[in-house]
Amino acid sequence: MDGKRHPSSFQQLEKLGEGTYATVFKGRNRQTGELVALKEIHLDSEEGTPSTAIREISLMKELKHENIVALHDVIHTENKLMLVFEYMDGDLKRYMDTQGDRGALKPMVIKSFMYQLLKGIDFCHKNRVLHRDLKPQNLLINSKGSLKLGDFGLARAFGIPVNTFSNEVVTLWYRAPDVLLGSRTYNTSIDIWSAGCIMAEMFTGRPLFPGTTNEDQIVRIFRIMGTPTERTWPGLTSFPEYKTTWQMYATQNLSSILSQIDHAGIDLISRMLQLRPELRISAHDALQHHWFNDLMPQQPQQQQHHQQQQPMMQPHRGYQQTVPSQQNYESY
Amino acid sequence: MATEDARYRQSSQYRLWSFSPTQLDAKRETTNALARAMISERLLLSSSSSSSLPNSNNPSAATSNANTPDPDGGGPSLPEFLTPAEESLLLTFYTSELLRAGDHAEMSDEMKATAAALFRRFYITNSIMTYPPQEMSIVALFFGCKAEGAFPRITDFMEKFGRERPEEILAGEFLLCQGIRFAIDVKHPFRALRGAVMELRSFGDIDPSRIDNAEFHAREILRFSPLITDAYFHYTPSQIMMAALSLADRGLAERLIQSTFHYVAPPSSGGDTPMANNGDASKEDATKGSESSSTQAAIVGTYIRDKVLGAIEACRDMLSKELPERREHWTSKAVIKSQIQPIRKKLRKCCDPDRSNLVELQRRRREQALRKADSEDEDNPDGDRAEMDAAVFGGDLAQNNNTKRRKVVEDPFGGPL
Repeated sequence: MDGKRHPSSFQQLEKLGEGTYATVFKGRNRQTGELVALKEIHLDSEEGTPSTAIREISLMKELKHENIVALHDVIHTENKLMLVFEYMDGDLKRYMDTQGDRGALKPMVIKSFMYQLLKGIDFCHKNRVLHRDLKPQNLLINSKGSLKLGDFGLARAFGIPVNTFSNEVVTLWYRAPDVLLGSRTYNTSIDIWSAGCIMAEMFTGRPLFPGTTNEDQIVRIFRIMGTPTERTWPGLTSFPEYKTTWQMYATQNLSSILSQIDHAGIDLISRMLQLRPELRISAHDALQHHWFNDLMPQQPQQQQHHQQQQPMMQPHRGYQQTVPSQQNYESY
Repeated sequence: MATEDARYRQSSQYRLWSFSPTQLDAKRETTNALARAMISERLLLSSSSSSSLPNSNNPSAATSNANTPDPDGGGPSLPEFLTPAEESLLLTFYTSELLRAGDHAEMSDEMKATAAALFRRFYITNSIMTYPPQEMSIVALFFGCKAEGAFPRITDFMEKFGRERPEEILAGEFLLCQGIRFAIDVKHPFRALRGAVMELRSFGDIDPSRIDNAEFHAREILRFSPLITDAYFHYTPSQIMMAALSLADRGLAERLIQSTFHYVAPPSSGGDTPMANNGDASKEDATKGSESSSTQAAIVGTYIRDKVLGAIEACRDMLSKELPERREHWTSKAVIKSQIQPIRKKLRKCCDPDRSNLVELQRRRREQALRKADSEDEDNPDGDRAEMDAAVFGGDLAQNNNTKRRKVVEDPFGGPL
């Protein structure tokens, strides 16, 4: 018996935050002394276990990765549900506020954080999970400089087709234009847009598109990225939120707005901040981008991994995701 | 980048809920034996004490009663308990009932399949004698919807299943969650089937209507056969899919295997619908990679291929025992009368007196939890663990100082998640 499964095996320390459906406390495992984050969820007596909790537990039980905050345990008593997460020292928002120069971080720190962010996103996407709510507050940082994705309360698994999603997700500032335009068939690319916004924010210390309403958010994006037309974005006029009254803005040069970012960095961010979702770079490809070439610590492991895997996979073309691969029949 | 295989091995379905047949049998036997012991104890207790419930606040009374012969003489006789085989038969029957109820509620294939899988997971470490299967099947259906991202209104659900109060469904949700060890995500073979169909279509030389037909039949099988058997515990979603496809159209399944492994089926394999061997096209495609790596892959492939073929065949055997036609078997009045009713009759006598009413059980546990919370000293290190166990696991564990036994009781819920 591990003794971890009872609320009493954790000493509850200070409150870390209050979410929409839960309260998070710092906690200490009485046996091991290990720090944890305790997410306490109050059970809805009307409908049973809340949907957000079910989503989060369901996904976190599957997503075990160094860049995703680990769910250690679930403690369910008759009256409350407590998720025991690994402890992280703070979130990226707070890190920028306290460690940054007026919010802006140093380029090498940003590079390391972006790499870790993309690795976490890539892992989610490979496991057919969209995070849907990436923002600095949901990226957790520890004293070792690790960044991990947290708060999967809005995340969900996706399949084929992906068309019934609610368009009321993702904090406005990091929300992809296709979602803002009312698309209900969005996919992994929405998380990439958020990552691009976060990258810009780490460089400048300020949110890139701090919109106040859906409409304002769209306009702020167009002012920088240029107003799309049916010609530059086929299908644009069929979006529910398409307006004929949009002012036509010219596309700005990102390197003049984000002068802090070097040439390679601008190349990467402009591939992430593509208005058309299908043109946005994937997390997997972004990780191969040459901007990360001088990021030594993580590289060797990554490359070695690839060399091992590729010969095994190359000879067998086909639909890797859903068809039995040559090694096994483990797809799902 | 990890392969699908590596990813599947990370899944809770593989980590927590995959067993060999021997392991699974052993678990079910342990669960059955444990339930007998617990229920015997409770029945003796309730028949010898005036209160029908063991009072956890009065340990001395509870223990002495358990060891004291019935003062009225004669002694209460214990009922006959269900055997593991009988439990297994009932589980199959109630899985069939669950699927029918899911059809009635017009739930999607994934929701029904998840509900069935969670229901069967729950009854690996919980005996049918301990928690009522009829009630738990409704709980599983409700939770199955939630697990698949649909959140039906509890009131709609109550109406559909003729329940009067939400608690009748919600009371078991907590039990179910705990019983499935919070592994909510179930991987199904439906997606793999769609992938297989896409691949078959991409060959370009197979009559599309044949593929459609095979897909239809394979899907029919997937909607029933693996759910009502132990297939999910033993095989991966793709193995199950291939087994179902091979039952629907063996030739197409072989074609797929052949293209995946460059494998030519031996002529003696006796396919139902032998496929003309025109694998040259797929071979050409498949050797796009560098030659040396494809040779190496072929060697590794041969080994894995044999393993996989063995698994598919074994899974095929399992599914073939419960083909969709068997739906009628499990609803046949004659079958129910001769096979199911006698066991249900037995069950009524040997079911756990403390747990047959889930609403009542939940109410009692909530009270215990509240009492516990009231008296809880924030900084008291785990001194009251046993009492918590009582709150969580119910009943009389707090009084049981036999730690070995307690360990056994707790084990079914598993270690750290």
